[in-house]
Order: sequence, then C-alpha cells, then structure tokens
Amino acid sequence: MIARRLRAWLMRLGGLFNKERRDRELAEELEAHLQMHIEDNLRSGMTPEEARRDAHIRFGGVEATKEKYRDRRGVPALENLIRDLRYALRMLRRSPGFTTVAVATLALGIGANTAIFSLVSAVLFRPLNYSEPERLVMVWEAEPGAPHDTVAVGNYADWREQNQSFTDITALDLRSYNLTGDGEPEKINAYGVTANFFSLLGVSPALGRTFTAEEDRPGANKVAIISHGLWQSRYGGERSVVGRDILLNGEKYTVIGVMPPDFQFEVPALGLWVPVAFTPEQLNNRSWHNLEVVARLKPGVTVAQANDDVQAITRRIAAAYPDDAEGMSAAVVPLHEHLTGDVRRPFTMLLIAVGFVLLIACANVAGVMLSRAAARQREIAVRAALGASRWRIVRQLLTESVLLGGLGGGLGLLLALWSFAFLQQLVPAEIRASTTLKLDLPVLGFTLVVSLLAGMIFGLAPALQAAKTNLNEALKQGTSRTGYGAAQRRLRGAFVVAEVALALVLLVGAGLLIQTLSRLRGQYAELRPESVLTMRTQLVGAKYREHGQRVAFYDQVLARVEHLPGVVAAGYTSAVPLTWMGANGLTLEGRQSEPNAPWNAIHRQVSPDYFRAMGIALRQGRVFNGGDDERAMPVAVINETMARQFWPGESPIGKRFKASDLNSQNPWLAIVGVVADVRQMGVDEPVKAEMYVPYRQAATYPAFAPRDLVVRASVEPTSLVPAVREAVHEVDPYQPLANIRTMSEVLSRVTGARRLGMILLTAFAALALLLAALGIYGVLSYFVVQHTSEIGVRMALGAQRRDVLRLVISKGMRLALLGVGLGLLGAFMLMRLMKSLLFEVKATDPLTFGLIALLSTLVALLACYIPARRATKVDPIIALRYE
Amino acid sequence: MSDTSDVWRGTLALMVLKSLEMMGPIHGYGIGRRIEQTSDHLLSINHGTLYPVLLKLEQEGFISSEWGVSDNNRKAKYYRLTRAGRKKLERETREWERTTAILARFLSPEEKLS
Repeated sequence: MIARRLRAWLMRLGGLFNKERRDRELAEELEAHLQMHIEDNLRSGMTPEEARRDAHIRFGGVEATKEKYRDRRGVPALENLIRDLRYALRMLRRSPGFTTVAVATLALGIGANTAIFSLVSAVLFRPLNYSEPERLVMVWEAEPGAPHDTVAVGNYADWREQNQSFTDITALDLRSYNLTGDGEPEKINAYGVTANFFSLLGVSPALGRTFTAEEDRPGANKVAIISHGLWQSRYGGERSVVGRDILLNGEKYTVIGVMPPDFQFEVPALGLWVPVAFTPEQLNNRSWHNLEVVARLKPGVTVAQANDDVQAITRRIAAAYPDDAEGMSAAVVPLHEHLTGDVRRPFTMLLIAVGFVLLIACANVAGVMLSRAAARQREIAVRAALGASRWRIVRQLLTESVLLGGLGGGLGLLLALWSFAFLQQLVPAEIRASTTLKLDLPVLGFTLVVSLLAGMIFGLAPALQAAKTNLNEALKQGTSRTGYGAAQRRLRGAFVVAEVALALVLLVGAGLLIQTLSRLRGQYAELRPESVLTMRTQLVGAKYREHGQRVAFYDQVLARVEHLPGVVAAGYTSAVPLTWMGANGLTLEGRQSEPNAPWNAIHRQVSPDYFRAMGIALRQGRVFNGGDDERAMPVAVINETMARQFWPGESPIGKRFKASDLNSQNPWLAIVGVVADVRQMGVDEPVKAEMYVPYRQAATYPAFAPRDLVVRASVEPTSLVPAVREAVHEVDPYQPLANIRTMSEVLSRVTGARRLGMILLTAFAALALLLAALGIYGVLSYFVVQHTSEIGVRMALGAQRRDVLRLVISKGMRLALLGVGLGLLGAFMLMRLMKSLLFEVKATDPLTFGLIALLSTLVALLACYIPARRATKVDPIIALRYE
Repeated sequence: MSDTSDVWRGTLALMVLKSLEMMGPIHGYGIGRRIEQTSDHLLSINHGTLYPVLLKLEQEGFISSEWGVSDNNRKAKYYRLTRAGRKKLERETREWERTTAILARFLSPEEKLS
C-alpha cells in the first residue's frame, strides 16, 4: 500500500512536467466524451440544441473538472511554489540594482557567519581525532595559584599504581635534541613518552611500529618514532627510513616508525618521540615537575569521579612527602577542554559579532524591501482584487525574500571557503595539524538554516505590511505617488536604530581590543623588536660539557657576528624574553626572607652587549663589560622590579646576594647596575624580579647557560641570516640553528590569536558601521523622494537651503542618536563578557566609549548629509509640477 | 443522489473498476453510461467527476490508458484494468460484501427487536 502511495506521488511529481501536452490531451479526452454523449442524444431523438445542453449538464462544469483533474495530476503546493519562485526571479531580475545590493549585503552577513561557524564547529564541536576522545583527560598537579601544574615522576607513578578510574595512563616529557650526522644539524622538539602513549590515544603509525615495554626501560636499545613533517623535510618521505640509525645529541637511535600527517599531540611541529625510560631514581623524584600526564577514563567513569580518585591519592602523597608536596592537590581536566578551553571565549565573541553583522544586514535589506513593497502597492492591490488571499500574497513576498536569502547564502558559502586559509591561523596550535576547516554537513546545514531564517527575518515584516494594503486606497492612487504609511515608517526607523546600536556595540568591542593590543605591543616598543634578529644555538653533547668550552663558543661566535656588516650589536642570553623563564631562589646579604614567601628571581646569563642588542635601557650603575670575567669579582645586573621589590627607596648598587640558599658554595654577587623591565613570560603577565649575570662568571649554573643569540641590525634583520649562520658554522660546523626569527615575530606569536581576533572583530565592526550608514542613507533618500513636493513647496515659500538641510539631517540624526544611545547601553552590558580578553583597558573604558560614539555619530552625519544635499537641489517648479 | 455523499464517493472508484472488468477496455463516457445503466438510472453522476477518479487509479497503477478509436471513428482514451487493479477489485468486492452483510444484519427487523 505504501508502495502504491509512493508510486502515485512519483506520478504526481512527474505531472509537474510536460504540462502543456497533458492539458491538451485532457481537453481532447473531455471533448471526445461530450461529442459521444451528444451523438447518443441525437440518436435518441433530441434536437441538436437539446442534445448539446443535456450532454453539458450531465457532465458538470468542464473547467471545474479540468481544475480538479490538474490538482490531482500534480502537486498544487509545489506548483504554487515553483510559480512563486519564477515570479520572484522575474521581479528580482527586473530591479538588478536592488538585487545586487541585497544579495551582496546578505552574502557578507551569511558568509561571515558561515566562516566563523566553520571555525567554531571544527575546533569546539568536532571530536579530536584520537580513538574515543571523550574519555581522554589530562591529569595535573595543583597548588594554590597554579591549578594545572606539570607533574613529578614520583607522583605520576603513584597515580598509575593506585588509581581506580583509568584504563591507562601515560606521561610525556617535552625535550629537544640536536639531530646531526645525516644532513644540516637541526634542533628537534621531541616528547619522551611511556610505551603505552600511542595505544592509549588509539593511534597507529603510518609506517613501522610503536614502542614496546622493553624499549621503555633504562639501558634499552635507543629507538625513535619520527613525525610525518620531519620524515618529509629531512628524509624526503623515503620508506627506508624505518630501521635507519640517526644521531640525537650525538647518541645513536634507531627509527622504528613514522606517524601519519594528521597526528599531533599538543606541541605543533614536533619532530619525534622517544621512550621516556624512567630510571628507578626518577620514579622516586617528587621535586622536578616536568611531566604532562594523559589518561583514559574507564567506561562509565566521570571526570568528577576520576578527579576525586586522583585527589585522594594526591592527599596521601602530600601527607607522606611534606617536604616536596605539602599543600599539593590534583586536577583532572577533559583533554578537549585542555586543548580548546582558551579559545572558547574569543570564539563566542566572534560568533556574537557575526550574528550582529547578519542582523544588521537583515535590517538593511528589510528596510529596502519595505520601500519596495510600498512602491509595489498597486501590484499587490491588483493581485488582491483578483482574489489572492492575504496569506497567498505574504507567501509570494516571502518567497522573494527567501530567494534573496538563498542567493546570498550561496555567495556567502564561497566567501567562507575563501576565508578558510586565513581562519586556519585561529585554530589553536595544539590541534592545528589535525584540524581542517571545511564545508562539511553541519556547516552546510548551518548556512542553509541561516539563509532561510535571514530570508524570513527580513522578509516577514515587509510582507505583512504589504499585505495589509488598503485595496481601495491603493487602486485609487496614481501609479507614481505611492508611499508608505506611518506604520512602515516607524518600522523602518526602528530598523535603522537597531542597526546603529548593533554596529556601535561591535565597534566598542573592536576598540577595546585594539587598545589592548596596542598596550600589549607597547610593552616592547622600547626594544624596537622589528630590528632584532634572534636564533637559538643549543650547546649539547660531550664537546660542550665544560664551562670553558661553552664560553669559547660564545666568544668566537659573538666576535664574528659583531663584525658583520649591518650588525649594530650582538649578544647572548639564556633565552630571549617571552620564550622561556627559569628562576632561582635568592639570599640577600644580611637579611632573612619570610618563611612562607621565599625570595626568587628570574635568572639570565648574558654577554656584555646583550642589553644593547636587545635594547634594554640602563637605569642606574653600569652593565657588564669585558672585565667581568672569571677572575674578577662576581657581579650582577638586576631589573627595576627587583630593585623596587628588595631595596625600595634605596639604591641597590653595591648590595650583594646569592642566587641560591645561604649555605651553598655559590659566590656572593655584587649588584653593579639596574636595567629597565622587560616582560619575561607573557605580554599580559606582570613583570617579575630578574637578575642578569655575565656568562663568563656563571660556571655554577649550567641549567641557565646561554642559548639565544640576539643581533640588532641596521639593515633588514632577516637579511643577516645567511651571514650569521656562516659565522656560527665557522665556529662549529655541526651546530644547529633553530628558532630563527625577529623579535617582532616572537611578539606576534604571543599576541597572535588576540591579534587575529582583533583584526576580525575590527573588520566585522567596520562592515557593520558601513551597513548601518547605508541603512540611514537608504531611509533618508527614500524620505527625500517621498517629500520632493513638500520640500518644493517650502522652498517656493522661501525656505533656505540651510532649512532644508536641517529638516532632512535632523530626521536622520534623531534615529542615529537614538541608536548610539541604545548601543552604548548595550555595549556597557555586553563588554563585561570581554573582560578576560582585555589588558590594562577597562571593559567600560570611557575614552573608547566616547570615541566610538563620536565616530558613529560622524559617520551617521555623513550618511544623512548626502541625501540632505540632494534635497536642497530640488527645483521648486519641477517639484510642484510633479504634484 | 447527493454529490457529496461520502459513501458514494468512496464507491465510485469501485464502480469504475467493476465496469472495466465487465466491459474490457473502454473510454470515460462508456464508463459513465455503464454506471447509469447498471444502477437503472437511480444513480446519476456528473460525468466530469469520473476523470479525477480515473487519474487517481491510473497513478496508483490499478488501471492503464491508451488512445484508441471509438465505434463511430472518434479518437478517445481507453482505460483497461491492470493485474493490480483486478486484485484490488476482488479485495474491495469481498470487503464491500462483508460490510453490507453486517449492515443488513444490523438493520434487519430482528435486530431492532432484540
């Protein structure tokens, strides 16, 4: 029976085609029927007249039959829709200007939404590409003020032995190796992992195999798995790389596998994985917190239950090892949240922003549709007079607007596709390799729904308004002088107010972010980071074990680089600001720290010229010079924050401290100078106390040995790279160079996501303002056209150009100012959500609010002025004749 | 007979099928005449109402149609029963008979008395 129904429906759908032939055949069939009837009637003795009449009466209405037959033949609702669509297309084609503007406006609005939704969907909604990713969690140590801390091996071992919640748990140790022997020396980031790492994530290598438990023991044969990236870049994708021996920090490792291109765990551009192979001593170490721990929940165990479980174990650890773990707790966090938690808020902000842009676009198109509907009043009235129901007219007009929405949506998809290359940069680096932006089913569905909704939103109000048309009035009026009534005018005014308000909210958001970013970058402006080149030469292996060997390397490299043309100054440092931070405890001569608040400072070992090369200004005393060598008195330079913190109100010059506790053999360091603060860790993290020591005197702190070469250039800094590389290789041909970039690039990496967010938000805000201005312009232009004769009369009666200007402008500005007011109020309420994205700018920063309000008002004024000026050009005589 | 009587509207399709079974391939006019004659002119239908019914039956695959030539050399569309239509006719006939039997028993004098 269902098959029959289906067949019938298919036939009916088929009935939509070839209509003319079918109609002709029906007419013939019915005609034949009547003729046969008439002939029979004639045979039974009726007059021709009677025969004809009788046949027709017995048949019933021929046209009514045809009508019923046609309804049955096709699908009337569908046919109406097709007819409406055809009609709508014709109407849109007839006014190409309107259609182009409307479709373009909608395409921008829908395109922006599609693009941002693709990003959000790819990053926040799509599961990570590990097996059953929802069961993966990160396990952290936690301390007051540091809720997600890396883990000591001993604590990891206890969690592994004692937990009830995980099917498996693995530990990762981030390290770097110098890869040498088979090509240019290269510094490679690597993870030391436990053997179960890959199976826990549920990933397999593209080539070869993963680690065995035997290989994850100290003293086992050394093996490594390399990433797809390293495989391609260094080994040309040769399959024979599996089984080959490579040199890492001078030690031989056998490559046993290659991972697929879309495999990534956290660190982007990681080169390889090696077994972490914990020694028994490491497994008891609870003071060196360097591991990331990942675990897989048992089926049915919740994150909260796992958290309680790990907390309980950690409490026992804290009680058993008070020296290392007093006050320590733990935290279990879903992996997805760990990887994408940071972007949740900025993405939400962008989604809201594009939502606003689309609303403004809709309001704009709706405004134009309203005036079009007014101009089409006669057409609509004629249709109503011919019997079209109000619902039928609304449907016709809605078809038009939904069609516009669809066209805009189609074009918007293209825009979104085109934006993906840029948006890809907004994907958090931790999941970028495994995340591609694409127009998949959810995105296409989203676009479809948004397009249809947009069509409904901007179409419904004008359609309902139009359908209310008063038949008599509309038909009585001439063709040229139709305008819309008070209701439409109010509606259009409301659209403009809403547009201005929404645009203003976006502008305020963008303004706050711009200020944040400029303040963030301002932190480093003094360094003039754009002319500083930095690169890393990490000295490892036997030939740099002794302090003297390292010093010789630095001295020789600096001596060569300093004399390169285009180099202003060159220096070495433990690490350039923003990339690494190592600190150590302090003992001040003759003073005692509070028991719970030990003193410490960030520790950098530098060459004398480092300050000049990096652009760090001297505030007091002196910086290092060649005389501060192994035989001289040990000295230090400190930053202003350290001076203020420990010697408030007095000069720290000549004061002495130890970079360790009192009883150590380390020498007392005498402060010889104070330099300007540089934010060490993040652009938005407060400056910490910092000490610099000359690397020649720093034999006792090998962990802080210089790694980063800093070169201040008088030419384009990247143009110096070949010469600097050559200089380094003259000293040691096997020394890899890594992280070659300008200080500006270092800075951009830290501010990157914020910067892109700001660029996008600014672009959206600008678009919103433009659309709102167009909205004002549209309303006023229409107003001027509508009131041409009135303006003419006024001018004929002696109104000045100025009066006309004032009339029109005040009309537009009333709406704009209302919008500005509402927008300020909205921004005031919404900007609080942005607080976490801001830096040194209040979410209610009066300056930003004021400037943006001013900017919006000025743009609105401009949008009002153009139609107002046109109004003053009205020639009274023509205007009156027009009436 | 009232044109809108639900009972008759539902049975029109059945009458069409039965007519086609009795008369073989025939045109719409023939079907209309046959229904009138069989009902002894007690049932007079607007012939026009036959055509939507014929279309529906054809769409459902119970009858098929082709152009032919009538007795007096007129081009007309002829309808014929398909196998599915024959089965449907048998089924509907049985059901109709059962329905009338039940109704007859229901409306018989004994039923009224008890």
